[in-house]
Formats: sequence, C-alpha cells, structure tokens
Amino acid sequence: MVEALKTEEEIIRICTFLIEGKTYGVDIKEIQEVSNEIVLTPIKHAHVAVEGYANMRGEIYLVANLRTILGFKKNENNTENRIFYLKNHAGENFGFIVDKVGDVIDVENSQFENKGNMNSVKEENSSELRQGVCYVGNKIITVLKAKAILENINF
Amino acid sequence: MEEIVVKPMHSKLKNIKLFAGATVRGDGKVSLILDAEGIASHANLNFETKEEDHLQQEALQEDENRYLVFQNFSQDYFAIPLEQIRRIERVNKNQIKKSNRLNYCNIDNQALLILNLDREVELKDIEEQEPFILLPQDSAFAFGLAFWKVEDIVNLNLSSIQEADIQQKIFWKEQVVQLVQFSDIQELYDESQADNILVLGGE
Repeated sequence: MVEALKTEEEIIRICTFLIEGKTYGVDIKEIQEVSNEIVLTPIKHAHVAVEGYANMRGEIYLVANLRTILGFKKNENNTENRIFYLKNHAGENFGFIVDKVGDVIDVENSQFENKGNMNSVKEENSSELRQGVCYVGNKIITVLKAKAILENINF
Repeated sequence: MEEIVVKPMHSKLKNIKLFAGATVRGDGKVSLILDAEGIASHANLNFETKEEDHLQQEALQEDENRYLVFQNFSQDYFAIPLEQIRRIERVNKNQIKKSNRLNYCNIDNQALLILNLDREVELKDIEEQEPFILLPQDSAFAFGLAFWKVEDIVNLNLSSIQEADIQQKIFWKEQVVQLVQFSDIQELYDESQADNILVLGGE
C-alpha cells in the first residue's frame, strides 16, 4: 500500500503537444478537456496572445494562443490545432491553442532536469512557465506550469 | 425580443471598458455585449456632460436675459426681468380699493398694496376693467404692480448697458422701453413714504 502511494507520487502523467515542432506538456490533472472545435469570438483591444472567447459546454472560456505566449510567430489555425481547456484551479475559464496534440505519457520525477535552456521557451518567460524538462526516448519534453500560462498574459 | 444571460468579462479583460460582458447565443457562438458608456470613455467622448452643461448654461443665460415687456395705462413701455416675477394676476378694477390715498387689492387673502407706474392716471379712472397685477418674486413688503397690457416676453442682451437704473431705456420694436426692477420700485416707494409724498399711485 505504501509502495503503491509512493509510486503514484513519483509519476506525473503528462499530456503533450507540439508548438513549432517542439514537444511541450502539461500535467494531465490540470486539463479539463482537449477540443478540436475552434470557434472563437475575437475580442478587440485584448492582449496580443488572446484569440477570443469560446463556448465550451455552455461556459465561456478565454482562449489564448500558446505560440504567442511562448514567443513564437503566430500562424494560421489549421485542422491539427487543438484547444486545451484547463480546470478552474489552473486557470479561471481559460484555454490555450496548440499546434498539434501529442501523446499522454508517464514521467517519473527522477526523469526531470531543470538545468540549461534546452527548450524553446523564451528566456524571460521560461522560468515562470517551465516546470521542468524531461527526456522520453529521444524526445525532449518541456513541461509547463498550467497555472502560469494564464498568469503570463499581462496587460 | 429575446432575453439573454450576460456573463461578466474574464478577469484578464477587465481593463477593456468597451464590453459589458459576453453571452452564449442560441447557435452556440459567443457574442460580446457592448458598453456604450465604455465606448464613449474609450474614445474620450464626454459629449453628454458637455452638452448638458452647455444647455444648462444656455438656459441660465436665457433666464437672465428674459424680460416681460408691458404697457402702463399711459401706454408707455416697460420691461422687467422675468426671474423677478412671481406671477401675473388679472383683477377686476372694482376690487381695487383706496385707503389713506393708497390702492389695495385682496390677492391670496392679503391686502396687497397696488403700485402704478403712471403718475397721471388714477387706477379708478382707467378704462380697462381687468388690469394686470404683477407680483414680485421677492420683496420686503407685499405689493403688486398694476399695468394695462402684456406685450411680449423677449430676450434682451443688456450686457452693453451700464449698472441698473430705473431711467434705463432701450429701443424695442421702435418703441422706447424703460427697464425696471422691483428693487427700484421698492426703493422709490420707500423714499416716497419717508417724505410722506406718494410718487407712485398717488393722487
């Protein structure tokens, strides 16, 4: 029993996605839903990263583009894009668009490395957004703090 | 007409004053609800306040410049500021009674001293059966001003005319109009009383 709990604490389940060909992920416990339906109402005068409002099961969610938050150039939405809707404790009625959804992977705490700048997150944002970096097979995954994504949209 | 539930803007968008909130439409899409006041504020428009101030100032100026033009029983023209007038009554000539060389009339259950801007004409001798009585807005004692005919209510710009004086005269519709104020009439009455000589309305 004690062994089982210890294992659960040591393993983090990560939902991965791609931004500019690089793999990122967030703790699956922070995610409410991943949706391929991208119908947005633009909001004039909002932050440059804000894509608009979306209706997610009757609730209005603010949706931002994670590319912009991470400092990448904005590109046209395509069919591979997805919206990651976060649970309320991670971001009040908030979701973000990613280029492409990836796999759900289990990562042990010991696999995380916080050294260096092996991710593509801009230096000024990285410390706030990055939870850690891990190697899974031949992939480098930058795990983001879900809560920090909304906090990073500063007006 | 359709009722909608408007949800407040996201906390990250509170600084955008253009929108009052958002709502989910019947087709599932989200619509933003505009805030007219916020739009005006965003565009630095304060037209309502300015317009109201402007209108208020205009109204005040108009009130200051509005005069009642009337004729006495000798058909001389007079003008008195409208803001000084409480109201105008018509009374039957027979209601005006004499007491100690002064004319009185019962208005609002009060024996109102009736003054006349005519020196030559006695109120009992006037042809008009129902003369007008002008009641002042504020006065130290109860009195009314008898006259023959209301001519008009006009806007007179008197900024060019010097300090108020009972002798002030202006031209209006080719007539000489004497400007009067209740305070002037009252002063004249006070002086005449002091000398025991009735200038206004005396025999």
